[in-house]
Amino acid sequence: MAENDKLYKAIAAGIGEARKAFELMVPVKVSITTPDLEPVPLTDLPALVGAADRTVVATYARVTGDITGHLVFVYDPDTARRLAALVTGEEEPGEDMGPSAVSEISNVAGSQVLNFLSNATGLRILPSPPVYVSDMAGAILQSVLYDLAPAADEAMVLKTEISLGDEEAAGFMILIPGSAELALLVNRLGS
Amino acid sequence: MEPNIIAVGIGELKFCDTPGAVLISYSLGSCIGLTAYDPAKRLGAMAHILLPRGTPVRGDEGKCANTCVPAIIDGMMKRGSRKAGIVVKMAGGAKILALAGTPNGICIGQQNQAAVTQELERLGLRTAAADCGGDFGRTVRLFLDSGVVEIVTATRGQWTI
Repeated sequence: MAENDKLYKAIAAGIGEARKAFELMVPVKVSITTPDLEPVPLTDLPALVGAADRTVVATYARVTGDITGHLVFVYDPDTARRLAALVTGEEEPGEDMGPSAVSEISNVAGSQVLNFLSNATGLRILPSPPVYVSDMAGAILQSVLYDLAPAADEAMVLKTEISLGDEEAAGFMILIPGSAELALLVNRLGS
Repeated sequence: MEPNIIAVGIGELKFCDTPGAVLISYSLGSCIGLTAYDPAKRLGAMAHILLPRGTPVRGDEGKCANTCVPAIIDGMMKRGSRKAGIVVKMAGGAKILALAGTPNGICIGQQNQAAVTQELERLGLRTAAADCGGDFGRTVRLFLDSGVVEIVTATRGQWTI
């Protein structure tokens, strides 16, 4: 596990940058918890952020470059609305503006974590443009399984909780590297 | 009395003949909820299929369409159903995230649906009803007292097949 410690530290530092990026875009204090980095059985992935059939708002980016993976932000619908209002400065952002604002802030914050990992490892790690979706949490999280399930029964999952202002944690950032890529990351950090 | 609800997780295949029981697969995205029902015996089965094909280990037949379809039909027949009397339905196979296709752009949900159809054909069967595709998740229930399959979505309401 000592090898994963280095990965954990690099990611934790990246998350500090993600928090700063969030706070540049919204006028409230943002908290992001110290991440959990642990193996999760693939069958448990749909219920990673609560009941699988709970309706959530999510943004998804595929991680490409020298490693592949999945970067997902999941928000309670009320939190997503609040986030959109904070980013746009409008109480009721338009139908296009809301999703766009939520995607943008997630993308910026996620990119910070990936940049940090990239700098620490010397690997090219890039997010695709984000996709915005509102659906059942399980259906969204299940979408990454096609990539992971053929090769493994569990995935190393990084999960942090995001809260805005005094609100209880109502959002999650989830990063799932491909199983082969995790070894590469750990290897690079160790050298 | 609360009906007997049996959850079928990812990769699982479950059979049930408890009167009034309900088999349920939560929040299917690209996965397929495959149901088999024998109206004469009120025996039902549900699988939560993850991938079109693979070589799952023993006890893991529900994970891939190529092993799950034979296993669900075989299991029904072992429990006394006649092949011709089995009503097969499926739902799911959606594309939730535009980017979540395989790298060559082929949608895994469509592949899952096609693989189930193909495996059924191989056994001389076809679905009595199917509700697949789209860009939304589905929770699927099979009611053993009626054989009705109910589909519930987050944003598009609910219906039965």
